[in-house]
Amino acid sequence: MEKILEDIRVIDLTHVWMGPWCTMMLAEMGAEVIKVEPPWGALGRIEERGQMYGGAAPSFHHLNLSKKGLVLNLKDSKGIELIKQLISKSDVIISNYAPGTMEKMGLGYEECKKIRPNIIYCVLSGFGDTGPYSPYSSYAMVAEAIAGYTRQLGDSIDPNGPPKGMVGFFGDLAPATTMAMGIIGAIRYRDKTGVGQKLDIAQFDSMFAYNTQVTTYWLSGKNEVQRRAEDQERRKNAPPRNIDPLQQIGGNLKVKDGYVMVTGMRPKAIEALKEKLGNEEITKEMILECIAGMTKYEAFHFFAKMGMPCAPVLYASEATHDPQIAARDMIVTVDHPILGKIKASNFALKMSETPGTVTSAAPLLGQHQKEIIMGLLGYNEQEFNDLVQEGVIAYQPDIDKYLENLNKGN
Amino acid sequence: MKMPLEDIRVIDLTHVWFGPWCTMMLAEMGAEVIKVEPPWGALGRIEEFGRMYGGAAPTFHHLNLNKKDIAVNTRTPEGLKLMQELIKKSDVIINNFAPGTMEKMGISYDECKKIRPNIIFAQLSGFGDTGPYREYSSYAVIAEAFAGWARAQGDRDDPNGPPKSLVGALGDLGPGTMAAMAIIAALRYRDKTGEGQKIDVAQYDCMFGYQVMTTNYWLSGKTEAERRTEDEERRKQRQQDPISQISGYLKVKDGYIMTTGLRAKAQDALKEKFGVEELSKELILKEIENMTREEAFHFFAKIGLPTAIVYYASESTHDPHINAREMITQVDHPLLGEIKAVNFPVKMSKTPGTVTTAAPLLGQHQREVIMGLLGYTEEEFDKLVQEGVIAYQPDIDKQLENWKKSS
Repeated sequence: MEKILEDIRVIDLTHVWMGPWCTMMLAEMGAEVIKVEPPWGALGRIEERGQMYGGAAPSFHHLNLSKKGLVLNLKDSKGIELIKQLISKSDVIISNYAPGTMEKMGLGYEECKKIRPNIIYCVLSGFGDTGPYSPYSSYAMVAEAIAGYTRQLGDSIDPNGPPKGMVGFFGDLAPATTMAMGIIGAIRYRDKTGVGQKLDIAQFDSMFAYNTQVTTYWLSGKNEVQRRAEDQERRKNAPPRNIDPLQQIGGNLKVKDGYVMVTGMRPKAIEALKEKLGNEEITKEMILECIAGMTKYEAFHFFAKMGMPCAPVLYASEATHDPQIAARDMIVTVDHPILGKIKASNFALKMSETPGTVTSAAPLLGQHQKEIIMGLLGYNEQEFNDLVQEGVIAYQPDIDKYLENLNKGN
Repeated sequence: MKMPLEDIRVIDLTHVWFGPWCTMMLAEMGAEVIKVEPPWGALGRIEEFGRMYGGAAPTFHHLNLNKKDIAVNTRTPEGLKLMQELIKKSDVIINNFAPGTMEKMGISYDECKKIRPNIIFAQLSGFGDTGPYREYSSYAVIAEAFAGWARAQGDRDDPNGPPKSLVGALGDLGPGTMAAMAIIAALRYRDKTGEGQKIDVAQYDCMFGYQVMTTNYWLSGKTEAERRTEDEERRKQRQQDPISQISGYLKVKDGYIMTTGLRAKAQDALKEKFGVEELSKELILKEIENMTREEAFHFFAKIGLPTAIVYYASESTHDPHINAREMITQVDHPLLGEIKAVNFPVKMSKTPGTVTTAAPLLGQHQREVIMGLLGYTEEEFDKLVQEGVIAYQPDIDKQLENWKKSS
């Protein structure tokens, strides 16, 4: 055994960000993930305002690494028949449709269990399979807003001002990682007992659990406004911290070509700073003056070497050039049938025996159609062509040519 | 077998947020997590300006559910010996010390492997065990600034203005979940092959991995500034769509709601509700201005628009949906009595994650682990206390006794 999930086949009925991130984690740990798309392509292939590359949005290329692509028309009874055959040969099925959709298609947990008794059946949604908001739809920022993040970010700017949305879609990615963790837990449980199960994860549940603030209110019985007033009082009454100018300068500090982020209040670092500045007493002004002429990388090393947690504030595009990212092998190159060699983010965890691996670029629509339907499910060429003609599966005529190019390129 | 990790013992040398979140996930899936604190208590027990509850900060109560706790001075030879004995009986050891600390303590991966050949050794840090920044320290905000999050957040308001830090320490918790995922995966690998391994988790790596933006720049070859200009152009072209104009944070009678998505069906439903042929931003805002957040939320959500009430975190604890999902549970704390806690967020039909105990008192399970698990006698135990190798708060027995009586 070389990869942890190399014996696991996942049917991936997810789209947009949350589901695809979860299944990508599984794929990078060795699972065979078969991404099932409708003939017109998954929602996430297209970015509304952005440019497309090789037939897909940049985020699609990111979120669908190492997966196989299969196209099935699930609105056709034969498409459902095909997916049921696939379920009989798979270990995990995962969807992020609106609650009820899988049942409508005849692919509810009970149905899937009949086909594959030890299936691990996963549902990702905004609000989960139960509770009053269950039928409501969601995106990352919906979960962030309802779990308190958005108001908190707004408060960090102005408590009386509007809420503020967070960047980066953590409301998708964080619950999705939690789900991937749950799935691997369920796989281990199945290894030991032979029993499968259903996993139901809601973005709201997960973001609520991630928000450690909530415990504060249960313990104090006070709300944010009351707590804030109290905290300010406490700060005012605290003994003066004249030895600690870093406490005052913590945050995003302006330097010659941008900003550095400095945080933490370590006494050792303060001593080191005094020595560097050749002064017994240091003030905020002195520190700001000292770093004003530095570049953000110079200031970063200056603080970090003294043991202060510090970062140059980078654009994401700058982070792709950062030497640490390069040294950590966080960037890999994959072959794309249309784009040729492209860069991709590597699996983020370094595991000494079973390194996660990015094996292939995000698939073209239906890229693995023949491999799965003919190879895995045993349909012959004639039957395959019939399915194409009936509109049950799609097969882009130029895929063969692209794949040939890909093979030649390797 | 009732839980996926019920046969697993974890030695938890982590502190603050990143590590404790990871081990809590493992504990909620059934692992026995033994938190090892120095005799003076872990860093995360204390919140600088905040109030303490039952001897710990609120976040400590949040991040240390389900764990056992021992207080050991691992810098003494006897303390090291205790650690070695614990490693011998454990499956996973996890720390988020600065790189090199475990080596200095004499419990590096190689040392641990000698004691327990199939150990899973997880090293959590800001920058990882390799690379030019490996010695540097980090917090969540550092990883977020490095991986492009803070700059992107600042750009939302003003691309020429300062960066803006995110809230919620997701730069700790996001990588923490990844570490938990990797540990469970490594356990499965060990089940199948008998082999352990070392897992090296860097916050920066993980936040870089989570940053889906990066792929944009690799594919386009453009910088943020160039991409932003392009996006601005496209956005202008789209100004006609009334729904896209109202997307975002909308003011209603008692606060804000967030609505998003551009679903054609929802637009039609809106037109029908308002009895108009054409929608305009003004019309929509006027229709909702007298609604409460709750009314506006259900109004939009029922027509299929992804919508949220913009809550304070304290408000989301009262939300009927969170309560219906049983996301809030109660635990019994030796000093505080019944307190509320957040439940495990994945609903697993066969092996539901469970919150069983409150965050431990400092050294709460000292006797259970050192005498029960490691087999020390009462006399040996007392000697360790006297030598300052382990701490044992004199009133802990009384506290625990009172606690048992009341529960």
